[in-house]
Amino acid sequence: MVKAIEINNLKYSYDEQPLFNDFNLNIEAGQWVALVGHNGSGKSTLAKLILGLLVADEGQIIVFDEQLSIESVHRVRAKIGMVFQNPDNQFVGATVADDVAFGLENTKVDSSDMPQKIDAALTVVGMQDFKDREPHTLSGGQKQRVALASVLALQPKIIILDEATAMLDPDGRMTVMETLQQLKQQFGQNLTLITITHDMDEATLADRVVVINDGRKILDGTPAKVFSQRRVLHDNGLELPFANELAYQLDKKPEDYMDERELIQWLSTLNK
Amino acid sequence: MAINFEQVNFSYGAGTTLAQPILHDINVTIPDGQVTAIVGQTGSGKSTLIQHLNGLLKPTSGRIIIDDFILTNGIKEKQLTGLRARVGMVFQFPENQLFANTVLDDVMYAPINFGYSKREAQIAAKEALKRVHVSEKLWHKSPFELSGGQMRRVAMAGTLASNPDIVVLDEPAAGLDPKGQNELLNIVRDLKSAGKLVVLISHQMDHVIAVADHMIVMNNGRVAAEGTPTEIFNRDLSWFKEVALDLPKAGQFAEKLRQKGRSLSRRPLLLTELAKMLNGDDQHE
Amino acid sequence: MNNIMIGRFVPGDSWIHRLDPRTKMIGTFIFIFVMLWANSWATYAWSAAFVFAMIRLTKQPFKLYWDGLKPIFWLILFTIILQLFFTPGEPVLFQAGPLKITVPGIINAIYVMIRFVLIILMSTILTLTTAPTSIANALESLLKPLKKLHVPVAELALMLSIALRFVPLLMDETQKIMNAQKSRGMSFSTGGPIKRARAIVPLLIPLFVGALQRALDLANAMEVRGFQDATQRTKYRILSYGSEDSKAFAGLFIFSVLFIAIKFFIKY
Repeated sequence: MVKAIEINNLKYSYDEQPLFNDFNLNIEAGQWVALVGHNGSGKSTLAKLILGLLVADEGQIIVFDEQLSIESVHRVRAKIGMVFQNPDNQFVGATVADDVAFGLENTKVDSSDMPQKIDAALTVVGMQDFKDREPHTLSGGQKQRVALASVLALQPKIIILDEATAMLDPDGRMTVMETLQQLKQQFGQNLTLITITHDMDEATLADRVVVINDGRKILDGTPAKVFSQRRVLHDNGLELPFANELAYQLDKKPEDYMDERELIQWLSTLNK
Repeated sequence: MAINFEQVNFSYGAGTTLAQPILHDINVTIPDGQVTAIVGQTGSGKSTLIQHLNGLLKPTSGRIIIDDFILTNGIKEKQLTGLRARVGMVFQFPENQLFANTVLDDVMYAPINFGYSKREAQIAAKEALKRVHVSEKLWHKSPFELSGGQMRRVAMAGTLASNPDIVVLDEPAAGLDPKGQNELLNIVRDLKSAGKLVVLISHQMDHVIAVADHMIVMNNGRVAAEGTPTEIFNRDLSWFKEVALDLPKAGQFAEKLRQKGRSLSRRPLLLTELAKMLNGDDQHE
Repeated sequence: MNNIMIGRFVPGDSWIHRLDPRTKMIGTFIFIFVMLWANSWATYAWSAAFVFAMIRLTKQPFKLYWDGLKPIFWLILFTIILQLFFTPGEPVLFQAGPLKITVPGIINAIYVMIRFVLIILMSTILTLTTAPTSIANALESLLKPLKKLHVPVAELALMLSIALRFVPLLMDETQKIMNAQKSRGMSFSTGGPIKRARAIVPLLIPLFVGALQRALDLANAMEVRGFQDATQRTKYRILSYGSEDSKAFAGLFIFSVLFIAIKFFIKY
């Protein structure tokens, strides 16, 4: 297995308060990993450390065999795309097309190649008809999809979404999550996806869930494994996804972990 | 202390070539002593509606009766101060309004504006901070040093400090984690038991069902429906599509089960209710 | 919800939209320069006719331009009043102390108003039909000679385009904070000047803090999308001077020649 991200013995303090102390995490290429934790648990800080937006006190961060350092930071960033929480604060361009172009301009893509690359990226997220629109005429969900397209245009191997749906209404949240699922289907093993969230229904979509609190890994494993630890999640300010909480409250429970679709299927065949 | 909207219309830029009608013929009553949730998709007119509750916007036509105060288009800005002391307004992401050197000073801002003496304001502010569970250790810190969730609660205290009878909350749980969301819903419940009229805007139907006694559904600037959450959430599925409204998660789950052929006697709205129904069904086997 | 039109771009496909932004920028300056020599009804009428023809060519409803004028209504009114009361001359129609209204004063006031309105309309044509990025690119291109003097032209141009992009957002934010503080009993309209000035603090601080937060977020977003050096970038919107641009300058030349002719031969 190829390692996309390797974090070894990471130490990081903020305001003299240690946030990460000997933190370790490996993420395999092609995985979809959900990093979950309550607000202030350190999960967003971790993303910033990986991108070199913050500098660790000690330890290593290795992205596709390249160790992060002052000298390598731009090469590392070229491998990672990141979508942030606030849809307005990451929209650099005056129009949708200009925003997608911004990254291409930075990476010195030929002007003549840009229109085609911009169209392609916008098509992936279903925003191709909004090319000339200005940001303030778009909904939050649409802006986040543009942010995703801006990142996609740079063909990163890893995309990190840092609470990218937290400020959206349910509709916007749904479209962004659908776009992500479709993206994963399209790129498969060529794309490593890291979603940072406290919405557990979103976390169920991932291949692997890592629960973080106070800069420590609390739980790490498949959704089946993590969502069997109801107690631990509660103690860390989190909840089970709806379907798992429901299954927990049933007298007659399914034996194995089930996601929502499976649970509905199971319940409907149970007795008609 | 109930609120009555009578034939309210509102347009931005009314009377100009650019008039943009937003609200149409609003006739609703927001009952006293209850939590009323205003729901509807983004752009349905919810935010515009609540800005009429303390006169930030004035109706283009029609009137709003808030207790003994009558808000019409002709009302002067000076007459609104008294209304604003009685109607507390907490906007979306209220932490963006913090400005003072200390938490306490910030919370004292509204009471002082509404004519409290400095001493009275301080007592009121401390009470409000306790009400939203902001620890005493933070009172003399700068509000900008606090965590996001703490800032949110300080901002809420800033509105509650003048002890308004009516509290309006626009999407108060947005961006909070599950624990923060639950704490917030508890604050809403506390406000209700303190006898306040609470108006809550929310996109989260699970929050609505958890705290609301009454619901107003907005669609395209009109009131699409009004009633108790049980009444509203038991409407036909097709109606929810029409007004772009979600069911609470339990209701959504139950409807998916029904589609798969499982019969359910009614539509559950809470997870515990759904679990009980499913458990009960099992016993009849 | 905000009706501020200054600096707003409305995408379109008119002839004016498609012109090189440098053409539009230089053209606007030439027009304003020429128009400042107007001194008669005929020259003003000719300038106005030109501006309205340009507006027609943008294929945008006149309403949009009207909105562009509204925010500066008070500024226009102020200058008109100044002209009206303080222009010396004969005959005097009305006098009260140092204030007097004269016939030349009235004429001057109307001239100044027309001049003001035409300049605003012409600049609105520029901003309405040109993407902020293009304006920044044009500026960068036109100011290129300054690079030799170590003026960071590329950085300035990028700053300008980002600043323009954030204008509507900050307007919106101001409105929101104002609503929040008004709800907490803030009042701008009562008290003496010191009290009023102090009333702005609860507005300015959140606005400043918010803008700073946005700036930090934006810097992060720019960095992770590979931004390093403003001078080492390619361009999505390429500036290309074409035959249509020559036609535009030819049109402007004809306007200017006729302007001079009117100025010297028609005495109204």
